[in-house]
Amino acid sequence: MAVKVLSFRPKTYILPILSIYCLISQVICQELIVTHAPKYITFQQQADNLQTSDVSKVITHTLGVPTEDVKWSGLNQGSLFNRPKANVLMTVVTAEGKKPLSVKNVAKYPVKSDIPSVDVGQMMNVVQDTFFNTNPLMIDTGVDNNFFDVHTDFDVFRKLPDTMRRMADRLLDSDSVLNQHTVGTLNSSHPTDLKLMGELQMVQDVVNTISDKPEMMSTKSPDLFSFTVTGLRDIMDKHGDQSTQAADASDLVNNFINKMTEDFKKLYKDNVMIEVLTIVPEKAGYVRKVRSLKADPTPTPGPDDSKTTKFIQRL
Amino acid sequence: MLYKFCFFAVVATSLALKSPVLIWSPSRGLSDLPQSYTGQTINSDDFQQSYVKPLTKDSNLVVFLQDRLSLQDLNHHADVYNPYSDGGSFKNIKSFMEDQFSAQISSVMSPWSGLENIMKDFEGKVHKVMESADLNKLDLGGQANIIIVNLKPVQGSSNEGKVFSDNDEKMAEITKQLTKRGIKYTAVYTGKTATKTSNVQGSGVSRRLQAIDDVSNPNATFMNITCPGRSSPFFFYLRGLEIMAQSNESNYNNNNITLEDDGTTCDNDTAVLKLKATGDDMKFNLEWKMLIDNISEYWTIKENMVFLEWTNGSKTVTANETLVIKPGDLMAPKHFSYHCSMHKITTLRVNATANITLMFDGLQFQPFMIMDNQFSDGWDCVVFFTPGIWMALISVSIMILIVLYGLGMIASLKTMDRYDDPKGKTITVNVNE
Repeated sequence: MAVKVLSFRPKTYILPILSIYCLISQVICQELIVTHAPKYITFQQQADNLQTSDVSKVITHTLGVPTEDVKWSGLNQGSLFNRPKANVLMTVVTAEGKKPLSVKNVAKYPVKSDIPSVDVGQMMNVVQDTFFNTNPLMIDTGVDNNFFDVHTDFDVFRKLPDTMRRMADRLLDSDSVLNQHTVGTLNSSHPTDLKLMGELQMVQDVVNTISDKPEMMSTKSPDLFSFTVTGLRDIMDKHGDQSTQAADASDLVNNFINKMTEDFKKLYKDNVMIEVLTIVPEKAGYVRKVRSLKADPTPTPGPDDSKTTKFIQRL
Repeated sequence: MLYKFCFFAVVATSLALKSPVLIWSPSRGLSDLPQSYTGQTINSDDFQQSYVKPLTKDSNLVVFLQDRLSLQDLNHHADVYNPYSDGGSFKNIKSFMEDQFSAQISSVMSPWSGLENIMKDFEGKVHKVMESADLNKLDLGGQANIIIVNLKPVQGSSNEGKVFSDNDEKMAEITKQLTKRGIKYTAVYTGKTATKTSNVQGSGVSRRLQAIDDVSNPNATFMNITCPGRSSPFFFYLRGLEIMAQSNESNYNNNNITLEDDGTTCDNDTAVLKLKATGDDMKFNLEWKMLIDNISEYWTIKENMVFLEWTNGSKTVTANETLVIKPGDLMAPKHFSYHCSMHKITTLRVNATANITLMFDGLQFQPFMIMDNQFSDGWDCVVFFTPGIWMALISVSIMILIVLYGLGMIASLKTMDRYDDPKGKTITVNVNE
């Protein structure tokens, strides 16, 4: 009798353990990592899960721009007279079950995904509406197929490389990401690896452009930067989660984020808030169903089979 | 669409009522007040119970009330994005916030109504002060007090920064006086509303399709005539009418005419429209008899009469004429109304006393078959194919024909192969110079 019970137990435990594991892995993958915030912003670590749709609202609230309320209570209300001059949001797309980025941070929150990505356009609109007379510095970059998609009203960013080919050329320069960071087994002549490096290079170039023109940061309105990095996920898909390439890519992204944080801190004299949002796109949302003309596995008999066979026999 | 609009309207109105609240005290710690979080609004009741009530218990409460205060005012005038700023127009308040016990709440739903409720049940005295000089006259000893200081309004001022900074000075002066008199106090600074009305309207005008205030034209005539013997009424609408008349002796022109019904009658398949207009120097009558043609199923005007009498100085001209209605004009299929946005009809008759021209502006009428108490589809006086449309259609079709012909020619091009025989002898042509 006792033996029977014992033999039963492992099976009954499998399901809850699996479901908890799934939950944890889902939660851990998606998180908002605040890599830097000014001293007057204080965080409440034991807050509930933050929803992806609330990320943009939280950011606009920290900049002092009133929008809709959020239920999340992870940020204490600090001084109304001190606001970060800029907000940098880097969205990194990773794969499910992958260990999260290990970057230096001041706070970390699990994120529950209710929308696929942060609505940066809306965030920009809100800021633009509030500061319509000061023209706030705003830029949003990402990769769309083989083109770099840069959303901004500022002409200085027009000279950033916009195609993969130009980006490959740019990476050969001495001050590029390729030459400043250890890239390990990554190879810039490989399209997926190039994409990741290009995305990081784009961020680097935006930082360089601003530091060349410090007068752009002297407005009396908040600046907004949003960068999307999808290359990491592509490398994981291409080479596998456990591959050395994936590990090297992770290291590169970690190092780069640390460097970027330092750069922005220096640019804005610490008065800047920098977050990294890691998201795992839900597979169902991205499945592309391909149709092709295939043979039916169970062929239906034709109207007159005997004639066909006769014809074949005659041949 | 409506849902979206409602949503925006709700967001906009709720934003309009949310004001930031700044609380500070030189003597009383404020750590007993609940922690507020970024992005969360405290509703009026919570504000009243958890924030203001504890403050009124053991010390005096000074409320600095601005007509309007919002986060945007702070953003624009307090130089908040500069880490080394002195607070801009809010210099003193910023230093109070930093040097004294303070609490800052970014968004409270109508804080003033919460404060008003507190004052209703308040046992001590409530004082209202406009200037810092008034403060000296107040007796603040013994019981607890609430002092309401109404600050200079920013709404409507051309230099808001200056007003905020003046108010800031005033607050510093008042708190200084209280400290001098040895009175323990907690100060609250907030606004009645948070909307920025005048300024925003002045600088960024947005447009959207909205109903205009008064659609009805004062000169427009609408007549709803009930017909005995049938259920459908007779509708007649006219936005405006201009009468021009020409006689040997004098001319007449009037475009400000108010029409009235003059006993219009209608029954199953006939209707007689009778209109009149009377002015100081004129008299006008119009009569149209309409009937349904049973063969074509159109209604047309069979008889019409127009009468005009006008006085020019001492002379009076009277004309009783018939309008020349062109075939196809002022008629419509049985179930349709007739519509014309600008219609000109004249009475051109040789040897007439006077020639009358009527300019109907926005004319629509339907004598028969009105359903659901509204005009049926309009049979418009503008024809379906205007000369412009014909011109365009014809010229385009000619061009298409030419292109098609050309394409046909190109498609039928062939290499010459009639005399080309690959097995035969090659053609040699001797050329002699």
